[in-house]
Amino acid sequence: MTIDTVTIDARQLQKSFGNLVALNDCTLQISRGSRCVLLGPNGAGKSTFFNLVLGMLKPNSGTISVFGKTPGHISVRRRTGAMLQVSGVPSSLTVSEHLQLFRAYYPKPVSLSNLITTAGLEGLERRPFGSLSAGQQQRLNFALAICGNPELLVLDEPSSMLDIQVRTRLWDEIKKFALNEQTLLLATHNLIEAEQLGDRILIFHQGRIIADASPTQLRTMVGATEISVRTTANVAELAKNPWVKRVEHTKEHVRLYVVDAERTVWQLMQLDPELKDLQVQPATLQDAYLHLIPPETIQ
Amino acid sequence: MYTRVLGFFRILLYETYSELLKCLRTPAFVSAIIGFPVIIYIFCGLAIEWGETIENSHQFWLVAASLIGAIGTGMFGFGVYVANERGQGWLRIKRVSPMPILVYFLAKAAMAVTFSALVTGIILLIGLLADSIEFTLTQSILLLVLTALSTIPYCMIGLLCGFVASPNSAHAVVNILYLPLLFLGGIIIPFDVLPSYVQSIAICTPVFHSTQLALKLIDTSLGFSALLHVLVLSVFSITCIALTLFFYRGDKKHIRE
Repeated sequence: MTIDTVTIDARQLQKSFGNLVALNDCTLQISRGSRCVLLGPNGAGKSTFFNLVLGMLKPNSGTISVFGKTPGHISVRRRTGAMLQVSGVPSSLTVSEHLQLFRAYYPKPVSLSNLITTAGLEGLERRPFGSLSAGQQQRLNFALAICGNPELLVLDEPSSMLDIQVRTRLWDEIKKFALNEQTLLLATHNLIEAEQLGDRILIFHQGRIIADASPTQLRTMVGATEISVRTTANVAELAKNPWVKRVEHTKEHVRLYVVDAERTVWQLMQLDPELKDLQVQPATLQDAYLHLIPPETIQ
Repeated sequence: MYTRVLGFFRILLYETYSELLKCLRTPAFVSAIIGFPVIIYIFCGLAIEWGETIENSHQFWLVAASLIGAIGTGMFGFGVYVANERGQGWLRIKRVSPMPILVYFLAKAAMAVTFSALVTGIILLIGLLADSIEFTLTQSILLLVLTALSTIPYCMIGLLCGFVASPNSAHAVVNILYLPLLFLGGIIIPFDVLPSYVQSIAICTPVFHSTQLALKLIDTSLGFSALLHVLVLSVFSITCIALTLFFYRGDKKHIRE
């Protein structure tokens, strides 16, 4: 990748806060136009990575560049938009006053009418921020982030605390925005959001990147298909097949993550023709995530 | 270069306008910042007859109340606001945007200066309507300019409080400082009425120097050089800026998960 195609270039990043190592030996390149989703439990290092990308923190060792420059440099900030988890947005200013103010920060801002349409804020222009619903406030935060038509859009849990309808609408708006050459960097705990918006998933755990793959690759890692069935047969032999990635037991209930569903179902039928409640469905990102970071490993 | 400077002032203009709108639309802020000095003026300057206790009392309270407005606007309107926005994360959004951080502080200072001039204007108007002041137009303009500029050192003190104290306690810290400063500086109690040991503390406070500078307008100052007062106030402001920068950098280092 050349410098023109790389948006973020991080090499052996290390960041500590006292004795706590927040980020350790983190190396990755994010190319222009990619839609990267950062997953991981709280304290995994996602926010530290965000703060390093935005120039709010400096690494203890290693290097990081954004558009080939030091993060936080004015030329980088002009090409970056950020939607962070903040409160305290001035509540008495109206939607259009907020947008006009942020537009003034950029040399070539998006037109006010375009911003309002893209963020779905039609009819709310004269409403003070404080009188907006949570969803509308998030949409305004999104509009503020895209004011400067940024080449890199950083979103920190954009749909947290939103109801399903509002969340879906915000996702559509983000997808519309990221259709072009823009790079998207998004941190979330919502795995459906990750699948909806990301084409590359980075899973952080204990300050390290433990997985870096597309959602499909991740699902394949755990088994692309999930088969659940109620059976009394011994499936231990079945688990030895290379196309069976993982087996979970709970009493009579067996759940298998496989890459060859047809062959596994056929074998199950051979083992137990009386089996019940057979269900075959694609494995989810959540299955892959829990496989990589089992709940019992979280302190 | 020209475009960059123009861009800077364009952002400053928008930012200042937004700050003014924000404050004007916050009734609690407007009533506290304008109300307190106006009430002080009405009670002490118009309602109470001081006789020989305070020399030239009508003019004294006019100057004193205007200065109380300037100090309050600087410390609360600037310092506490910055502390709140820092605590709630809004300052973080500003830092990652391309807005020069200097603009953020300049706009807040411009808002405080404007409010301070507004308070002085209202007090002058009340005095004029009550027919109790003998200020010439030049004196009135000088008082407006002086109180507006006097806001700046208190913005710096407020800002420092906002960065030293945790965002939630900044208001309390400023409150603790505000009233003692007013008493010590010879605004609420004239300097010559203060006990001598308090006087020796008072001359170390910025309020004393602001008051003495302002009292020169009505020829009741203690007679120190105006330059000395300006110098002391400048040193106070610069020290506060330096300390704030120190804490601002520390604040950046403490951003984490």
